[in-house]
Amino acid sequence: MKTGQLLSSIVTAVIVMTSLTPTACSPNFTEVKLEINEMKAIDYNKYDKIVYAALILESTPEDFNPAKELNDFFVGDLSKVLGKKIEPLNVADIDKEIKADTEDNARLEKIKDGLKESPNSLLITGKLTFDIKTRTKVDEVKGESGKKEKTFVKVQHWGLTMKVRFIEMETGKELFNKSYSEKTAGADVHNPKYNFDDLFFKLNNNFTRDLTSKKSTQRRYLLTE
Amino acid sequence: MAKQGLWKEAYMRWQRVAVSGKDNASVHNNMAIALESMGKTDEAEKEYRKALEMDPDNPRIKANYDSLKTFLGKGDKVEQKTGKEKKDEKGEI
Repeated sequence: MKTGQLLSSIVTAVIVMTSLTPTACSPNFTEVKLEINEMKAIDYNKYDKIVYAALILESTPEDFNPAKELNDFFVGDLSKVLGKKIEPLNVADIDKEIKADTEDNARLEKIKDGLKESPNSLLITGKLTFDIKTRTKVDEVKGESGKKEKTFVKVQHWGLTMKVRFIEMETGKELFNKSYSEKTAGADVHNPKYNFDDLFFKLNNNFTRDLTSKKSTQRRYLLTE
Repeated sequence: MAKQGLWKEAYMRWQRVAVSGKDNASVHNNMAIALESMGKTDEAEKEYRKALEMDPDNPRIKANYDSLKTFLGKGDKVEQKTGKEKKDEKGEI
Protein backbone atom coordinates (compact mmCIF):
# COMPACT_ATOMS: atom_id res chain seq x y z
CA MET A 1 0.00 0.00 0.00
CA LYS A 2 1.32 3.42 -0.93
CA THR A 3 1.99 5.93 1.85
CA GLY A 4 -0.78 8.15 0.55
CA GLN A 5 -3.32 5.37 0.61
CA LEU A 6 -2.17 4.26 4.04
CA LEU A 7 -2.49 7.79 5.40
CA SER A 8 -5.84 8.19 3.84
CA SER A 9 -7.13 5.00 5.42
CA ILE A 10 -5.72 5.94 8.83
CA VAL A 11 -7.30 9.35 8.73
CA THR A 12 -10.62 7.91 7.69
CA ALA A 13 -10.39 5.35 10.47
CA VAL A 14 -9.62 8.00 13.04
CA ILE A 15 -12.49 10.18 11.96
CA VAL A 16 -14.97 7.33 11.95
CA MET A 17 -13.79 5.69 15.13
CA THR A 18 -13.57 8.76 17.27
CA SER A 19 -16.50 10.83 16.03
CA LEU A 20 -14.18 13.77 15.88
CA THR A 21 -16.84 15.90 14.26
CA PRO A 22 -15.06 16.83 11.09
CA THR A 23 -16.32 20.26 10.13
CA ALA A 24 -14.81 20.74 6.73
CA CYS A 25 -13.35 18.50 4.10
CA SER A 26 -11.26 18.84 1.00
CA PRO A 27 -9.15 16.32 -0.87
CA ASN A 28 -6.15 17.48 1.16
CA PHE A 29 -7.32 18.06 4.67
CA THR A 30 -9.99 17.42 7.26
CA GLU A 31 -10.77 19.89 9.96
CA VAL A 32 -11.13 18.28 13.38
CA LYS A 33 -12.06 19.59 16.80
CA LEU A 34 -9.94 18.68 19.78
CA GLU A 35 -11.23 19.05 23.32
CA ILE A 36 -8.07 19.84 25.21
CA ASN A 37 -7.87 20.28 28.92
CA GLU A 38 -6.16 23.63 29.34
CA MET A 39 -3.96 22.46 32.13
CA LYS A 40 -2.95 19.52 30.00
CA ALA A 41 -1.02 22.23 28.22
CA ILE A 42 1.52 21.40 30.87
CA ASP A 43 3.02 18.12 29.86
CA TYR A 44 3.69 16.66 33.29
CA ASN A 45 5.23 13.52 31.82
CA LYS A 46 8.12 15.40 30.31
CA TYR A 47 9.54 16.11 33.75
CA ASP A 48 11.81 13.63 35.48
CA LYS A 49 10.36 14.72 38.77
CA ILE A 50 7.54 16.80 40.15
CA VAL A 51 8.44 18.11 43.57
CA TYR A 52 6.51 19.92 46.22
CA ALA A 53 8.35 22.49 48.30
CA ALA A 54 6.22 23.35 51.31
CA LEU A 55 4.14 26.47 50.88
CA ILE A 56 5.51 29.44 52.78
CA LEU A 57 3.25 30.03 55.76
CA GLU A 58 2.28 33.52 56.78
CA SER A 59 0.50 34.57 59.96
CA THR A 60 0.02 30.97 61.06
CA PRO A 61 -1.94 30.58 64.30
CA GLU A 62 0.21 29.72 67.29
CA ASP A 63 -1.73 26.59 68.15
CA PHE A 64 -1.91 25.02 64.71
CA ASN A 65 0.55 24.15 61.98
CA PRO A 66 -1.00 23.00 58.68
CA ALA A 67 2.20 21.45 57.26
CA LYS A 68 0.86 17.89 57.46
CA GLU A 69 -2.48 18.76 55.85
CA LEU A 70 -0.73 20.63 53.06
CA ASN A 71 1.73 17.83 52.49
CA ASP A 72 -1.09 15.26 52.39
CA PHE A 73 -2.92 17.32 49.79
CA PHE A 74 -0.02 18.22 47.50
CA VAL A 75 1.79 14.90 47.69
CA GLY A 76 -1.29 12.68 47.92
CA ASP A 77 -4.40 14.16 46.35
CA LEU A 78 -2.70 16.36 43.78
CA SER A 79 -0.55 13.46 42.56
CA LYS A 80 -3.77 11.69 41.61
CA VAL A 81 -5.12 14.79 39.85
CA LEU A 82 -1.97 15.23 37.77
CA GLY A 83 -1.55 11.50 37.21
CA LYS A 84 2.06 11.68 38.27
CA LYS A 85 3.85 11.19 41.56
CA ILE A 86 4.71 14.35 43.44
CA GLU A 87 7.67 14.08 45.76
CA PRO A 88 7.99 16.21 48.87
CA LEU A 89 11.14 18.27 49.03
CA ASN A 90 12.72 18.96 52.39
CA VAL A 91 13.03 22.74 52.52
CA ALA A 92 13.21 23.08 56.30
CA ASP A 93 16.93 23.84 56.23
CA ILE A 94 16.55 26.29 53.37
CA ASP A 95 13.75 28.13 55.13
CA LYS A 96 15.78 28.28 58.34
CA GLU A 97 18.81 29.54 56.49
CA ILE A 98 17.15 32.32 54.57
CA LYS A 99 14.36 32.87 57.08
CA ALA A 100 11.94 32.85 54.21
CA ASP A 101 8.84 34.76 54.90
CA THR A 102 8.35 35.52 51.27
CA GLU A 103 8.54 33.34 48.19
CA ASP A 104 11.52 35.27 46.99
CA ASN A 105 14.09 34.31 44.43
CA ALA A 106 16.62 33.36 47.09
CA ARG A 107 14.42 30.48 48.15
CA LEU A 108 13.91 29.35 44.58
CA GLU A 109 17.63 29.53 43.88
CA LYS A 110 18.38 27.36 46.92
CA ILE A 111 15.71 24.88 45.88
CA LYS A 112 17.20 24.79 42.39
CA ASP A 113 20.62 24.05 43.89
CA GLY A 114 19.07 21.18 45.81
CA LEU A 115 17.68 19.77 42.57
CA LYS A 116 20.99 19.73 40.70
CA GLU A 117 20.77 15.97 40.29
CA SER A 118 17.48 16.27 38.48
CA PRO A 119 17.34 19.67 36.81
CA ASN A 120 14.43 18.64 34.63
CA SER A 121 11.95 19.03 37.48
CA LEU A 122 8.68 20.80 37.94
CA LEU A 123 8.40 22.61 41.24
CA ILE A 124 5.10 23.14 42.98
CA THR A 125 5.20 25.72 45.71
CA GLY A 126 3.56 28.93 46.85
CA LYS A 127 2.30 30.64 49.91
CA LEU A 128 -0.49 30.18 52.43
CA THR A 129 -1.63 33.24 54.33
CA PHE A 130 -3.87 33.18 57.37
CA ASP A 131 -5.99 36.14 58.30
CA ILE A 132 -7.51 35.48 61.70
CA LYS A 133 -9.31 38.12 63.67
CA THR A 134 -10.64 37.46 67.14
CA ARG A 135 -13.75 39.29 68.24
CA THR A 136 -15.73 39.31 71.45
CA LYS A 137 -19.47 39.12 71.25
CA VAL A 138 -22.28 39.05 73.74
CA ASP A 139 -24.06 35.74 73.91
CA GLU A 140 -26.90 34.40 76.01
CA VAL A 141 -26.30 31.14 77.84
CA LYS A 142 -28.30 29.27 80.45
CA GLY A 143 -26.84 29.86 83.89
CA GLU A 144 -26.86 27.44 86.85
CA SER A 145 -30.21 28.78 87.91
CA GLY A 146 -31.64 27.91 84.52
CA LYS A 147 -32.07 31.53 83.62
CA LYS A 148 -30.53 33.01 80.50
CA GLU A 149 -27.50 35.08 81.30
CA LYS A 150 -25.52 37.38 79.10
CA THR A 151 -21.90 36.51 78.72
CA PHE A 152 -18.96 37.49 76.56
CA VAL A 153 -17.65 34.88 74.12
CA LYS A 154 -14.76 34.96 71.74
CA VAL A 155 -15.27 34.13 68.06
CA GLN A 156 -12.89 34.26 65.17
CA HIS A 157 -13.13 35.33 61.57
CA TRP A 158 -10.87 33.17 59.45
CA GLY A 159 -9.51 34.01 56.06
CA LEU A 160 -7.20 31.77 54.08
CA THR A 161 -5.39 32.67 50.88
CA MET A 162 -3.42 30.09 48.98
CA LYS A 163 -1.15 31.03 46.14
CA VAL A 164 0.05 28.13 44.04
CA ARG A 165 2.90 28.27 41.57
CA PHE A 166 4.21 25.67 39.12
CA ILE A 167 7.75 26.46 38.07
CA GLU A 168 9.86 24.66 35.51
CA MET A 169 13.21 24.50 37.26
CA GLU A 170 15.39 24.11 34.19
CA THR A 171 14.17 27.30 32.54
CA GLY A 172 12.69 29.16 35.50
CA LYS A 173 9.46 29.50 33.52
CA GLU A 174 6.32 29.91 35.59
CA LEU A 175 3.62 27.67 34.17
CA PHE A 176 0.89 28.32 36.72
CA ASN A 177 0.34 31.08 39.23
CA LYS A 178 -3.01 31.59 40.86
CA SER A 179 -4.38 32.66 44.21
CA TYR A 180 -7.46 31.29 45.94
CA SER A 181 -9.20 32.85 48.94
CA GLU A 182 -11.92 31.72 51.32
CA LYS A 183 -13.41 33.25 54.45
CA THR A 184 -15.56 32.14 57.31
CA ALA A 185 -17.16 34.13 60.09
CA GLY A 186 -17.89 33.03 63.63
CA ALA A 187 -15.32 30.28 63.68
CA ASP A 188 -14.67 28.28 66.84
CA VAL A 189 -11.72 29.73 68.73
CA HIS A 190 -10.85 26.36 70.22
CA ASN A 191 -10.75 24.34 67.04
CA PRO A 192 -8.21 25.76 64.58
CA LYS A 193 -7.81 22.44 62.78
CA TYR A 194 -11.52 22.29 62.04
CA ASN A 195 -11.49 25.91 60.85
CA PHE A 196 -8.51 25.23 58.63
CA ASP A 197 -9.89 22.00 57.18
CA ASP A 198 -13.18 23.70 56.39
CA LEU A 199 -11.53 26.51 54.41
CA PHE A 200 -8.74 24.47 52.91
CA PHE A 201 -11.23 21.96 51.51
CA LYS A 202 -12.93 24.78 49.60
CA LEU A 203 -9.62 26.22 48.41
CA ASN A 204 -8.21 22.99 47.12
CA ASN A 205 -11.54 22.13 45.50
CA ASN A 206 -11.34 25.32 43.44
CA PHE A 207 -7.70 24.72 42.67
CA THR A 208 -8.16 21.14 41.49
CA ARG A 209 -11.21 22.18 39.46
CA ASP A 210 -8.98 24.65 37.64
CA LEU A 211 -6.55 21.87 36.89
CA THR A 212 -9.10 19.42 35.61
CA SER A 213 -12.14 21.06 34.14
CA LYS A 214 -11.07 23.89 31.90
CA LYS A 215 -11.63 22.56 28.43
CA SER A 216 -10.70 24.35 25.29
CA THR A 217 -12.01 23.45 21.88
CA GLN A 218 -9.23 23.59 19.36
CA ARG A 219 -9.52 23.23 15.60
CA ARG A 220 -6.78 21.51 13.67
CA TYR A 221 -6.25 20.31 10.13
CA LEU A 222 -5.52 16.64 9.64
CA LEU A 223 -3.76 16.23 6.32
CA THR A 224 -4.74 13.41 4.08
CA GLU A 225 -1.80 13.81 1.74
CA MET B 1 -10.86 8.44 27.52
CA ALA B 2 -12.01 6.33 24.60
CA LYS B 3 -11.26 9.14 22.17
CA GLN B 4 -7.85 9.60 23.70
CA GLY B 5 -7.16 5.89 23.28
CA LEU B 6 -8.02 6.06 19.61
CA TRP B 7 -5.83 9.10 19.07
CA LYS B 8 -3.04 7.11 20.68
CA GLU B 9 -3.66 4.25 18.29
CA ALA B 10 -3.66 6.64 15.33
CA TYR B 11 -0.46 8.22 16.62
CA MET B 12 1.24 4.84 16.80
CA ARG B 13 0.25 4.08 13.23
CA TRP B 14 1.59 7.39 11.97
CA GLN B 15 4.72 6.87 14.01
CA ARG B 16 5.21 3.51 12.33
CA VAL B 17 5.03 5.24 8.95
CA ALA B 18 7.53 7.85 10.14
CA VAL B 19 9.96 5.24 11.41
CA SER B 20 9.71 3.29 8.15
CA GLY B 21 11.18 6.31 6.36
CA LYS B 22 8.06 6.88 4.29
CA ASP B 23 7.17 9.94 6.31
CA ASN B 24 6.23 13.28 4.93
CA ALA B 25 4.93 16.58 6.26
CA SER B 26 1.39 15.23 6.57
CA VAL B 27 2.48 12.37 8.79
CA HIS B 28 4.31 14.68 11.19
CA ASN B 29 1.46 17.17 11.17
CA ASN B 30 -1.02 14.44 12.05
CA MET B 31 1.28 13.02 14.72
CA ALA B 32 1.42 16.50 16.24
CA ILE B 33 -2.38 16.69 16.39
CA ALA B 34 -2.57 13.28 18.04
CA LEU B 35 0.07 14.36 20.56
CA GLU B 36 -1.89 17.53 21.31
CA SER B 37 -4.99 15.50 22.00
CA MET B 38 -2.97 13.48 24.50
CA GLY B 39 -1.74 16.65 26.19
CA LYS B 40 1.84 16.18 24.98
CA THR B 41 2.18 19.70 23.68
CA ASP B 42 5.97 19.91 23.74
CA GLU B 43 6.30 16.83 21.57
CA ALA B 44 3.51 18.15 19.35
CA GLU B 45 5.49 21.34 18.78
CA LYS B 46 8.50 19.30 17.65
CA GLU B 47 6.39 17.33 15.20
CA TYR B 48 4.87 20.51 13.75
CA ARG B 49 8.38 21.87 13.27
CA LYS B 50 9.44 18.71 11.46
CA ALA B 51 6.35 19.01 9.27
CA LEU B 52 7.19 22.63 8.50
CA GLU B 53 10.77 21.74 7.64
CA MET B 54 9.43 19.29 5.07
CA ASP B 55 6.73 21.59 3.75
CA PRO B 56 7.43 25.17 4.88
CA ASP B 57 4.69 26.76 2.82
CA ASN B 58 1.82 24.52 3.80
CA PRO B 59 -0.85 26.89 5.15
CA ARG B 60 -2.65 24.15 7.13
CA ILE B 61 0.48 23.11 9.03
CA LYS B 62 1.31 26.76 9.67
CA ALA B 63 -2.20 27.34 10.96
CA ASN B 64 -2.01 24.30 13.24
CA TYR B 65 1.37 25.36 14.60
CA ASP B 66 0.19 28.93 15.18
CA SER B 67 -2.94 27.70 16.93
CA LEU B 68 -0.88 25.55 19.26
CA LYS B 69 1.43 28.48 20.01
CA THR B 70 -1.54 30.69 20.77
CA PHE B 71 -3.07 27.99 22.98
CA LEU B 72 0.16 27.71 24.92
CA GLY B 73 0.35 31.47 25.26
CA LYS B 74 3.57 31.62 23.30
CA GLY B 75 1.92 33.62 20.56
CA ASP B 76 4.80 33.93 18.14
CA LYS B 77 3.88 33.11 14.58
CA VAL B 78 5.55 30.63 12.30
CA GLU B 79 7.20 33.24 10.12
CA GLN B 80 8.99 34.87 13.06
CA LYS B 81 9.70 31.67 14.93
CA THR B 82 11.21 29.60 12.19
CA GLY B 83 13.81 32.25 11.46
CA LYS B 84 14.85 32.44 15.08
CA GLU B 85 14.79 28.69 15.45
CA LYS B 86 17.04 28.26 12.47
CA LYS B 87 19.56 30.58 14.19
CA ASP B 88 19.18 28.67 17.46
CA GLU B 89 19.77 25.38 15.73
CA LYS B 90 23.00 26.78 14.30
CA GLY B 91 24.01 27.93 17.76
CA GLU B 92 23.57 31.62 16.97
CA ILE B 93 21.84 33.40 19.78
